[in-house]
Amino acid sequence: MAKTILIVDDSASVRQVVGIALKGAGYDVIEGRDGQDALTKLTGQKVHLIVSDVNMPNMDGITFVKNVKAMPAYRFTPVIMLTTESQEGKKREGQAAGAKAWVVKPFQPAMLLAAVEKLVLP
Amino acid sequence: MAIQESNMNLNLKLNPTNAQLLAAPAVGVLGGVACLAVSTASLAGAVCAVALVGGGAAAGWVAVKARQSKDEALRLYFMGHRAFSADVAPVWSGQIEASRSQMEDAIAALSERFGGIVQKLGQMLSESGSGGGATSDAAAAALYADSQQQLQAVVASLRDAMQSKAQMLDKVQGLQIFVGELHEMADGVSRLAQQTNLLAINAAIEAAHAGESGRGFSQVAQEVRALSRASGETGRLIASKTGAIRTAIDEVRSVAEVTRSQEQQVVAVSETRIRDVLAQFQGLTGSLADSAAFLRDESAGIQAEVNDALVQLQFQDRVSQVLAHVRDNITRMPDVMQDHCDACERDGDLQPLEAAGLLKELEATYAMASERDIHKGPADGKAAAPAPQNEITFF
Repeated sequence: MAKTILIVDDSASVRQVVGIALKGAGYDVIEGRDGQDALTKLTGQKVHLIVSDVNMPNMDGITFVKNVKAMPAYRFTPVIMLTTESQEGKKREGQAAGAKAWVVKPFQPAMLLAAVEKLVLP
Repeated sequence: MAIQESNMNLNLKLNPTNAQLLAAPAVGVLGGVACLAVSTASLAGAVCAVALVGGGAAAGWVAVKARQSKDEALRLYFMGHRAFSADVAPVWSGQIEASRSQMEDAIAALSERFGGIVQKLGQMLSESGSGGGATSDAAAAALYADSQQQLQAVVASLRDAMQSKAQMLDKVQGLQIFVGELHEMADGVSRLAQQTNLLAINAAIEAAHAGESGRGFSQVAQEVRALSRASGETGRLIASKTGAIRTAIDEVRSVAEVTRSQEQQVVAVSETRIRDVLAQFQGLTGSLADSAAFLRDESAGIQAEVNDALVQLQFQDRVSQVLAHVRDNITRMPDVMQDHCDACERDGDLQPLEAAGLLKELEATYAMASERDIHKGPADGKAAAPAPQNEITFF
């Protein structure tokens, strides 16, 4: 059975690129337009990994990760932050929230896939 | 920076004080009193005092009018500033948002189409990919080998049949020897019959010489002659039949020779045609395999190109963020202008309009290093740092 990955980004084109890369590698993909939307998508879903943007409307990525980590069912779900933000301070915020990796856009799908393969839950 | 400095010089009081407004009338009154005192209340002194007081009052009235006019001008000025930013900012931000939104929709649609292309190419490659291609090549090779084997078996069967026929003909040919022996034996029978007949004739002659006593012997001689004639006839009949058999065998042999030659030609032609057909089949499967491999390579190349195009389309995300930051900053402009005008009116001063606050707010929204670099301005003529590529950090 294919593993499921949640993509959270307010940019449809980024969701598209990430989705193509992950589907091509055999993963099932669900999408959220922002942190708030993504939290509703998590309910009742078995998610093996989350790829999230940082700067989003309604709920930013850092707040979203904090919310995810507060949910018992997803406490151990690995999160990769995928963002244009490259400041060390922001990275530390992401780490403190519970993210496992920080990928700066623009990204090569192969590189993101390598990070996913490394972190995805068995 | 030059603009800020010039603004500092424009830090002027908006309105003259009441003391300034009363200065002219006060000077007039004081002048009039002084005139009266100096002229010891003469008529000329009184006229002069009235003129000075009147002049002072007129100057005060003019000053008040000027102040009212200036107040009105400033009110209109601030109103213009507020209206300007309130009118312009929504249009600017609206245009930016419309462009950002259109670009995002267009790029999303483009990405979706590219995504569809990549998916279809992926499906095609997985179905006829490297593994599938090898399987088809192997299947074609197996089909070729099987066809070759079966057709060669047909040719071998024909050759076996020809061989059996040749062996049978050899055996038929071998019968000619026995037929020849039979013929010789028939000749022998005929010769024996002839000799027997001669003996019987001699015996009859001798019996005749013997007279009455040889009569019985004469009858025996006649019987022997009859038997020898019958034997001679049988010998000739056998010789005739063996001759017919020999002729028949020769005819069969000559016909068989003709058909064997034809069959050899047929087999040779069949072999050649089978070889040609197999060669064509092999060529066809080979060219099909080559075409399939070429198509696979081309499809993989196109897929890689489209994937690369999708990666490049990520610029939309970056541009969209920059435009959103500028849009949000522009929407803040009316409030900033309002605050500025309120401060000027409250303090009674023409304050310089500072960009620092708005720029600081804009800077706080930046997400990319390139935005910060542009904000700082070109340093030593260096261009802004390019966007980082493939930057990944594991925690």
